[in-house]
Amino acid sequence: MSVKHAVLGLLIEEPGYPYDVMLRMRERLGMWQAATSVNKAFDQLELDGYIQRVPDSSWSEATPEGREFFEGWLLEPVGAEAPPLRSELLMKVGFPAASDELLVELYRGARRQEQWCVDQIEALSDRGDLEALAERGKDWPAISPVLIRDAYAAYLKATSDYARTILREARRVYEMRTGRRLVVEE
Amino acid sequence: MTLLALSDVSKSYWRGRREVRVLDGISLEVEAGQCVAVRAGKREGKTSLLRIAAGLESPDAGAVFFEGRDLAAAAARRWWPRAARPVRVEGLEPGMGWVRRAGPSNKSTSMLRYVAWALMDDYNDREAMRRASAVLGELGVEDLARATWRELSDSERILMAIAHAVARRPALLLADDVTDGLGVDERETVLAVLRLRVEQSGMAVLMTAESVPATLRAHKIITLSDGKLVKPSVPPPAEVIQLPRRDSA
Repeated sequence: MSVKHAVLGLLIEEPGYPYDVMLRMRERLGMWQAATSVNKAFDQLELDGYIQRVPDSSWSEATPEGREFFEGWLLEPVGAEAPPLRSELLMKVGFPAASDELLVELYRGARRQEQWCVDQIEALSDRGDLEALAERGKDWPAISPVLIRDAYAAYLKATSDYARTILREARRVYEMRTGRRLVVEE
Repeated sequence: MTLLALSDVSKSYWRGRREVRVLDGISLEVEAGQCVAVRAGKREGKTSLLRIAAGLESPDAGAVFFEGRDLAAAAARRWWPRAARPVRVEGLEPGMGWVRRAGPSNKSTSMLRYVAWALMDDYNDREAMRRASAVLGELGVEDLARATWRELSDSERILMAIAHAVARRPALLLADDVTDGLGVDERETVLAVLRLRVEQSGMAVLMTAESVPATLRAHKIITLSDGKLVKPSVPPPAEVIQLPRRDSA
């Protein structure tokens, strides 16, 4: 996540001017950026056509192109293994700033991520070797592979919990905003 | 043979003014001699699913069949005259067992007697004690027969709760997150006891768990996510992360 993305996300949420965005970045994202780098991000975003000045003021707001760019970036997978979505910014800025279509898209993405976790868990499962299983916990050589496996299982659990939080939150925001049940066909 | 079948089961709860659908069109089957694990997070419908499967709670929609009997109909039969009602122990259908982590109400009773209690409706005292001691032997905890609940560690308590639940030789055992809060070795021991029991006696197990490792010994792992079931894709993904195994070292 770069300063540029953070600034754009916050401007989609609510129009603002550089100092105000800088404060919001500290408050919401814990990003303590210097005023110069925030100003630079504003200039860059304006050059790219992602934000524009509100007439007769120092405030800026996101353009439709900026919104599109941000939503595309949110959905872009991070890392090679799991298909997770942009994590921190999504959690802090993404939901209120997301359009209805993006919420549905996020929901789908989180479902794919959950499916990936389920497949990995299936591959981890150990159904044979009952005698060894009964002996587990008795000595170090027996328990060490279990501990290694547990570490990966914990990673899968965290990834899947993350996906569930997105599922729940996307559903909640969507239903609150539209008053309709979120139904996503598989 | 399909022992338990849930078809299109839905259940909602109201949390404040918001309706939360914890189960949304869930269908699953448990075969005899199969260990099925349901994985879900906190407040995501694990216990509801298990209670509905046990016939303790009725679903908003859908049907539950156990050994071919409709449990919704069985729940309705609770209002029948006593003589016409089927015998239910702890509110459960005959043929089902529930692992109660709370233990005996009298905490200073011996474990042998606790396990025997489950059998005292059907047998006289002596026979019940004999059978209870056989069950303890089968689970490998016969040395704890004279201990009281207070003297047991967490994992031993769970083993005793399992012994109590399987004493009546149920066809289906329901276990609600029994390995929660256990250490790695204790968890593996409890899972091993459950799995060995399934292999040896042909009993089926429907268990829930929050953590991933607690489900990994089951024949079938089912994940509940946002009220829906997520099944592993078939065929499984090509890239499987290889873990070091004991024999490869």
